[in-house]
Amino acid sequence: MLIGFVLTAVLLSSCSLDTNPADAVEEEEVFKTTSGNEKVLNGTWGYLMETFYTYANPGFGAILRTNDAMGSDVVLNTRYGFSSHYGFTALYGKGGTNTHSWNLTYKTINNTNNIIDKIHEAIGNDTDKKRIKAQALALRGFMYLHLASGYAFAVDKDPNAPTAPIYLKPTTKDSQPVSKATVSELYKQSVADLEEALILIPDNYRRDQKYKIDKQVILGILSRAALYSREWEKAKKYSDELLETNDYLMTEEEYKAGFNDINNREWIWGHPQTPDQSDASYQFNFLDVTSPESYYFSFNADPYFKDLFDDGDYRKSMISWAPDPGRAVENGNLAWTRYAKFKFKAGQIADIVLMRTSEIYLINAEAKARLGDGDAINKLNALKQARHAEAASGLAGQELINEIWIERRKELFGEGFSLIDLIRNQQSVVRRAYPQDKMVDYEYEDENGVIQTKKLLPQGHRVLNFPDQSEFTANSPYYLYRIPDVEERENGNL
Amino acid sequence: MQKIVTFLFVLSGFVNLYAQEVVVSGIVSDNHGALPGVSITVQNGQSGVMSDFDGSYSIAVESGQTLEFSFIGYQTQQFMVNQQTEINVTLQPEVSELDEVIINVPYGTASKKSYTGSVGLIQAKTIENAQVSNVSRVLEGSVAGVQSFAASGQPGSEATIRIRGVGSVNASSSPLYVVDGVPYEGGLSAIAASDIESISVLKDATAATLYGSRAANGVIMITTKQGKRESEPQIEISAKQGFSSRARRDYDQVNTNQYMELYWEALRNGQMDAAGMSLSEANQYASANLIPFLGINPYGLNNPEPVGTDGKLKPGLQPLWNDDWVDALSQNAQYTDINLRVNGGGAKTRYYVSGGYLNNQGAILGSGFKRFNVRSNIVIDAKDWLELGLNLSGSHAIQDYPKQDDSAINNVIGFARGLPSFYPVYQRDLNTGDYLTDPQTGARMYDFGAYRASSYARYNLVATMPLDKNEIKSDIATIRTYAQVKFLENLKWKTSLNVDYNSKYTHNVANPETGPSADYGGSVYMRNDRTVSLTYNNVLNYNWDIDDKNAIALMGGQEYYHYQTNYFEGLRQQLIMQGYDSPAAASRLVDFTGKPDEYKMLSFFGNAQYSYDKKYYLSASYRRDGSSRFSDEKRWSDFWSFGASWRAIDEDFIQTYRDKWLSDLLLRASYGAQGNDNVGYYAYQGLYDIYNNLGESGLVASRLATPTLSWETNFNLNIGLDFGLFDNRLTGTVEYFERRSKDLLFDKALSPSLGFSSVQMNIGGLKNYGWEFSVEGYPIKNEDWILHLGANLTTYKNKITSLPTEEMWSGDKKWVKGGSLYDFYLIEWAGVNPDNGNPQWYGFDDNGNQFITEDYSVLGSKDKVKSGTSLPDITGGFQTELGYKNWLLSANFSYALGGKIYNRDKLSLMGQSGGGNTWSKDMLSRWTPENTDTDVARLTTSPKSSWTNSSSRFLVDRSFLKLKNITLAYNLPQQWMEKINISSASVYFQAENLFTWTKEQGLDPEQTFDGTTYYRYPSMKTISLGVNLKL
Repeated sequence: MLIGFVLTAVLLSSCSLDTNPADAVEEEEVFKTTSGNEKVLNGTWGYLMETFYTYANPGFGAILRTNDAMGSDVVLNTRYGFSSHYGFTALYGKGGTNTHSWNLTYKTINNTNNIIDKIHEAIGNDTDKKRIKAQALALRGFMYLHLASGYAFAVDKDPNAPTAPIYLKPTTKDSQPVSKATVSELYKQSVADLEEALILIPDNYRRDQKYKIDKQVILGILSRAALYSREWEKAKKYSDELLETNDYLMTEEEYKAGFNDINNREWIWGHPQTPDQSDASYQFNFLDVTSPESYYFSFNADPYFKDLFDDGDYRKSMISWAPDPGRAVENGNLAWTRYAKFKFKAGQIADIVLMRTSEIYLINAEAKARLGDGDAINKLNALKQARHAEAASGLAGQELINEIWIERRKELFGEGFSLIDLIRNQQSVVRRAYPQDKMVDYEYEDENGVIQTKKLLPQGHRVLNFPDQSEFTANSPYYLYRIPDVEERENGNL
Repeated sequence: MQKIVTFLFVLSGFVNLYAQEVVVSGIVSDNHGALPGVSITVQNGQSGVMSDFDGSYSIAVESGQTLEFSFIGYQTQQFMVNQQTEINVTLQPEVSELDEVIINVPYGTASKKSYTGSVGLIQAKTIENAQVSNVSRVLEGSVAGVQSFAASGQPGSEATIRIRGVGSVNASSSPLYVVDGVPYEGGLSAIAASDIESISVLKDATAATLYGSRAANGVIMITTKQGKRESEPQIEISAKQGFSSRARRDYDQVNTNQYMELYWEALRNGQMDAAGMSLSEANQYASANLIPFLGINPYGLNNPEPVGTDGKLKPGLQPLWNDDWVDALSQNAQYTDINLRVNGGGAKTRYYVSGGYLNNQGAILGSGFKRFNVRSNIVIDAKDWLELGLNLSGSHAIQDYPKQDDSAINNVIGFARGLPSFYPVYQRDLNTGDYLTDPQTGARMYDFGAYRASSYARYNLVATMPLDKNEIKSDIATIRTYAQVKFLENLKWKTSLNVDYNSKYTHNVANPETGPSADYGGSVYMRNDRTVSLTYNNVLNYNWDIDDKNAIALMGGQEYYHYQTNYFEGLRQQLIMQGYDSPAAASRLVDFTGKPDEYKMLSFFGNAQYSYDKKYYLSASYRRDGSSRFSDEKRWSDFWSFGASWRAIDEDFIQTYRDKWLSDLLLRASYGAQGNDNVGYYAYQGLYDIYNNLGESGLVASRLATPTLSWETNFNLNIGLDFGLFDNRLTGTVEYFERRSKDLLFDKALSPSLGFSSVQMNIGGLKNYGWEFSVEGYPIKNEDWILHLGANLTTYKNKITSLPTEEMWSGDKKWVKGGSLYDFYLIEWAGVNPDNGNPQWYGFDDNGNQFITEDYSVLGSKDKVKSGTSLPDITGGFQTELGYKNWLLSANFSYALGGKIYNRDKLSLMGQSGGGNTWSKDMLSRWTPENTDTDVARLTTSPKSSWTNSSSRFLVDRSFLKLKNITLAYNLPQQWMEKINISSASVYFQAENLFTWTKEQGLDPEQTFDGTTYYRYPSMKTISLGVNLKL
């Protein structure tokens, strides 16, 4: 009895009601040191690249894949994934990708705002502070670039078009949502963030993993931002600066290796995958159209796309008619144009490419073409030569620019540029029906090792107009991301 | 036993016998025979005797006097003596079982006769009759005001239980479970139904306040069986064997021939819409592409274009196969339940020991639940002043739980529903339709359908489920110990220490050789969840009968609760070969993680009760809780309640009615406050989630700091009336309840551009109110026949009393002041445009004028209108019981009237484009130029706006009537049993979920409050035979 009373007394006096989570850290602790700040940068990157909304929306890659699904050169099949994007109902209908893009972007912006706002008070050396702040600024600039280029028409169409809010301070429980900034303000913010990052990033910083932002990456995003916002001088300057330090273009062998390895020397920026971090690899289930384990085989090419290539161009040799891989051919009688560019690595993982030197060549060429700089065609031809294509000659002005745009379609197929290019250049999607009156011959080896030929029904573009059955045009609202319903509802200041 | 004790009394009774003018004698009996110990008194006289062992008596009485025969538990009878010398009396047992009912209340027991609160009671018999693997399902339709929804028919899964609706928006709305007086965390599926003595459902504040914040959503108190003092060991055996199948057939689908014509039409229309083809071009396109797009030709390779350019299946074509995937993924399910129970007691000890085995297979392939359980309840009267108790129970359960709860491809429910009949289960010869066989074994070969057009390509769950594993093993131990010290007869101190231990071990295996998992060499996933909860409390009880009329009872105590849970899990790929399923056999580590969580609560409580003349009862309770979930300054909160009851039946002025038809009348009322803190473990800190990235530590903002977040409070008002009529042959209860919640713990939506989707706040107020009625009675009760009828009915409304903003959204529900949490706000369906077959919806322009549109994308939140509520108007149940001699037939029904369900399950069968996805039969009435008056849109592979976009079109009525349970039992005659030394035996036939009456074909209407259904394991029908033996 006495023991009970004693036990009670001891228990009551000793028990503290404080508890703490084991998988989260209190805010005050987080920003105390530079390494704490760096952890936020690192976690934010992981969050941005790996967060699923649905299986069809794996991380930021969903936005890249959307850009191709809504362009002229990719023919989506009817399987799960991006077929509603291909039919222009996904963004316009405010579907999953539309919500996903908004949430990912602003969540990333708020996390980077915290770092940019708090790192100067952190314990740690100045070099680290500058470097981490530069990386946070660059990431924020990358996000504002996405908003400027995906949520509004070209900046020269309507520079004052209200587009999306800008936040530069961390959100607290008392924060109020703000109104839409214009497309020019968004581009300005993006370029400003990146230029500040360029100043801050220490020259001697050597990243240990290729997803991290270094001076090359900052220069690359800056070149892009300048090109999209039509600041040709800046685009030229920054891309020149980048090409001075890195102008490597990959070989045929590297080109045919599957676009799945971040160690490819042409990749400036990418997102690596490992067996224990492979969510973003799910994108290859859509991109990979030649490996049986890909399932969806979604991102096929327009049959006419092949005609854009010269015969000697090794990229052309990667394009062919074929049924779904891994399917018994006897029973398969549909053929799609397969561009064997993206392939899973073993174990169904694949690194995600975000920036390559060839894009910088093309930015550089386009900026110079705009400025009438004669070096434009040299840069274009440097790339063409690397791909064993015929060099262009005698082109200038708009003709040259058109040639550069076609080269962008050929070189950057499936890497997330088609729709952005159409919007910023005020062009229309162009899709042409492919006749089915002629079957295509497909050769394959049967189980006895004998080569057989099977006639297959060819598939080309299937959606040839907008959902309201109007013709494709430039500057269509069907191209743009929309403000999600929740934002419209909860943001009274919008 | 009572009879024997009173018989001893009888012997002393003879002393009173002395001679008078008339000596009356006779025999007193009841329906079963002689009744000893009946007191026979002369009214207005001094004399009295008791009947002896044979029930005979003899008493001297003057003529004209009245004899009164009374015995506890029987109705008193009176006879005027008029010279007769023999009066034989048969006493009738009192019908009123209500009087003896003892209910379990927090930290003690109470008599239902005088209890001030609202309580629903379920006795052992009802529980045993319900043939379910989980006790939570018993509550459905049994107690007014309790809603129980079987969210899944998966064997071993728990029902969702709500008492008087939902008091909280975000915080948990689950009631507190208390087993043998102590909050219980083990999971109800671990408790064998046959071990339960009673379940008390505490619905109002009176008693629940004593559990403070933990009882905000009501309390369900489960009391397990105990032994009796001085009784021989009694052995009971019960066994049940039966089989289960789906309670309702799945949604009807179109057949292969219909599918072909419909899909042809969708392709044709799609090409006209999206590619601008002419009608004749599109007709040709559809005929040529139909089979290529579906991937297989069920009419054989010789008919490459089975549907002609006229859209009609070519004459005489019949599919070579027609496979039913729902059937293929079903199994013959067995149900076995065996229990053994022994109870008894000596002078100083009492015991109850039991063991049981349950095997409840699911109707869906690869699903089931097996449980082994033991229990030992022991009470020791160690000293005159010391009682010790130890209740131990343990269970081991194995649940086979195939994926069944989201849109994943390997969701077995979705898979069965999602594969149309023209995709064969086994590989076929494409010319003849014959099964292909393995040249080595001669066995049929599964068809994995790499050619299938839908997302189900490459999967065949019929083949892989037997090779894969989805198993959850649970080990649950519950320890309840107490010591009760009697300082004085009326002053007791009870200290108890209680531990619930729960270990859940999940083991999922995807086989390395067959099906899509072969691509990565198979995988093995393991997870262990370990939960320990400890409750330590001390309670002091004091009773003081001040005088004949005034009595006081006081109780005070303290409680400390500590909940710890942790898990770890890992995933490895590349198993060495088929048949190996441990991580040691897999070569590639993919993931390993885990974490603990902790929750603590410290409480102090007290209760005072006062009664006057056993007619007036008052009670007051108080509890103070400190919760680790809130910040230091907001941690503590006080809860309280008051209650009163009045036994009007015992008042003199009711005497006149009491003598005629009124046999019981009790009025009671209570009011009190309870809290709710159930909003996540760390509900005040600003947090960054650990989000590691590529081998380096990472953090990402996850929660805004909310230092002022605090308790949600519920104020409960209850007013009740209990009545009994005609000697309590008809009894009933009427109650009104009102549950006001304030400072609701709420995830307030934020502009996503702020970087957070929501912030937790205390905002708004809510009112749940309604009436509960329950009646039961015995319209027929005689020697051979007994008919028992019971019914209960609850009307329940929910009203939002305040909100921080004008409106708030929660999915497809909009909340406005004066509205309900359960109001569907949906885009209003405007029908199919008869001119072109496109779906149409209503919207509102800036001036508030209604317009009709075919473009769903122009519509937003502002266009959504109130489209109904998910709350049924009335819910309840009926119980009927008909007995004839040794036969007993009982049937229990549950029902709901009114309310809507948004049927997302059906939506998956109603796409416009087909493409290898299944189609509901409803699609046959789609719009065509000939059939323009329809509410099913035109088929097309490229709809401008998909007609399955969320709208009021897909709300369906949720009213239903369900025969939950029907039992026919036969008690074998006593005479037969005695010969084989069995004291009693009965056999019975039972059926669970035999019939459901509801409008929507295929839907199980018994669904959660929010009224949205999405891939749900269907409920099962179980039919069984059973036997009960008492040795």
